[in-house]
Order: sequence, then structure tokens, then C-alpha cells
Amino acid sequence: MTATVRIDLDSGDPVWRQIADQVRAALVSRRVKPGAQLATVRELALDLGVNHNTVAEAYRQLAAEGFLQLERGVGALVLDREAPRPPAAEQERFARRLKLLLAEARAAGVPVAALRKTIEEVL
Amino acid sequence: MSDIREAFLESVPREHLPLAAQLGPFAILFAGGLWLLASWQKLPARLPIHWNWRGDPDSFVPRSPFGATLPLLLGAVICGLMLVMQAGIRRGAPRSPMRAPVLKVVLAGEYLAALVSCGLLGASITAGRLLWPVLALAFAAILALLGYTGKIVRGLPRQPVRNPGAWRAGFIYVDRDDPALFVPKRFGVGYTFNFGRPAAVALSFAFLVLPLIAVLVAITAR
Repeated sequence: MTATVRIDLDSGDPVWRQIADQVRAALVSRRVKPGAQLATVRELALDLGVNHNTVAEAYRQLAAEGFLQLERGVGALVLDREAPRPPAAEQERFARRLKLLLAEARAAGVPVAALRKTIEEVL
Repeated sequence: MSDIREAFLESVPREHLPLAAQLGPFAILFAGGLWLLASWQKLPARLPIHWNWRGDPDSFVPRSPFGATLPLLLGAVICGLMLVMQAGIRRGAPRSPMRAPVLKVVLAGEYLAALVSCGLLGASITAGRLLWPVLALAFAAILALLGYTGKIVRGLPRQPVRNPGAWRAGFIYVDRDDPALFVPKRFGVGYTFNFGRPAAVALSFAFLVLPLIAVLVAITAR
């Protein structure tokens, strides 16, 4: 049991999005493998001290993206999701966002080695 | 200071508390009841329920079903409350390495309460002959429980403070938006109520009032 969700209630991002982003990162990097059972909405809400609806919203978002199968009373099952093939324009859009983010990190003084490690973790 | 919270993403099985272990304290109280029933004809007209520091009885209740079973009733109330507390921690406390050991300590406390209640009954129906052995055993059992708790506590990782802005007077946790009924204590090991939840307020009231009522009944039964 190593994958965790970490939220910051004082950051400007909505909590449900923070949860969804982190769960997605854990699933994409295969830190949590297909077939695994995620904590139920109730458990995760209890652990994080947030409203059940907040966690449910994050799970619903991930289910809509094809990452999770939600079943009442059972919880969230991680699916073996087949990655979609985005069109070239979409790939270009992601590349541009990534470049801007990397440039911002470099400007803020984040070392290249740390950025490389983070990228490898996700990939 | 940022309010950062972390939780395990994957599901883990809930702590298993065997039914036999849960029924144990009540079985002990029931055995005490059978002992009382077997000794009923030999009981004196008045039963001691309090002793002075020399071990001489200074307070009595008349021999009646209610008066004689008072220690067992008090034990049943305490054991019942501790059972409710275990259920509350299992269902309403965040998952952490602390939860299972704390449940074990509460269960051990429940056994201690049942044994002490039976000991009090024994001291009462033997006209105080068992008082000193009961006190010695109770003292040894409390030491054993403290030792067991200390052993468990030493092995536990330190918990981060939950929701730093929700603590009143440093140790009272109040957060209406937090679904947890019990939260890890700010200082030390164990759980405290989340007084932002009506169920926690009702439970803490029951923990305070029910034993008090039981003691008042014991006093007025003299």
C-alpha cells in the first residue's frame, strides 16, 4: 500500500480536481495497477476529512475518462484502459503546455535532474 | 501553514475483530451472574458495596436482584460503551496504522472492566473476603494494560496533525465539514471526538452521563 493522495486545502485548485489529478497520475504511471480496488468514496473522504461528494465527483470524472468502474457498495475498480490516439493537433497542444510548464519550472530554479525524475515517474 | 492532507489510495480490509473476542467481556459478566445465582441462598440480608481504606465495609445495599447485580450492571454499561466506541472507530476514524492497535487496547480495556466488575461482585457476595485479592488482581491487570498500551504506542509512527485550524483550546476538534467521527489526537496516541458531528456530541454525552447515572443509582440504592 504505497500510492497516496495528497491534497492542499489552501491551494486555489478545487479539491475534487486535486484528487482526480493525483489518482490519474497514479494510474497512468501504473503505481496502481488495473484490477486494483481503490478506497471507497466514504473511506477516502474520511481519511482526507472532506465531503463525500468531493471524492465522488473526482471518481465520476475518472470513470468518465475510462479509468475506473464505479459500483455502489463495492467501490472503484481500476480498469485496464486502452490509451486513446489523439490527433496531431491535440498532441501539439499537450506538447505546448508541457513546454510552458517546464520553462516555468526552469525559470523558478527547479533543477533539470528533478524535472527529469518527475517526468520519468509519470511515464 | 498550509492544510495538507494525505490518504492511502488503495482499499485495505477493515480490521477483523472476531465475534468471540467481542462477546468475551459479556460472557464474563454472564458468568458472574451465574455465580451470583448459585450463591443467592447464602447471601446475607445486606451486601457491602463500599469499603474504607482499612478494608472494612462502610456502605451496603439490601439483598435484592437489583442491589446484588449492581456491579454487573455497571460493568455491562461500561462494556457496552466500549463496544460502541470500537464500532465508532472502525467505521468513523480515518485509516491509519494506529487504528488496529487502538481497537485492541479498547477491547483489552473492556475485558478489564468486565473482570473488575466480577471482582467487585465477588468481594460483595463474600462479605469482603475477596476484597484484597480482587484489588491486587485489578492493580496487576491495570499495570498489564498500561504495559501493553505502552508497547503498542512505541511502535506507531507519528501522525501528522489533522486540519490544524479546527482545534479549539489546543485539543478539542470541531469541523462540521469533516465526515470523521473520531480523529487522531493532536498530542499523544489515540483518537478524540470530532465535535463538529452531532453523533460525536451524542456519543461523548453518553460516555459522560451513562456511567454517572450508574454510579448515582448505586449510591441511591443503599
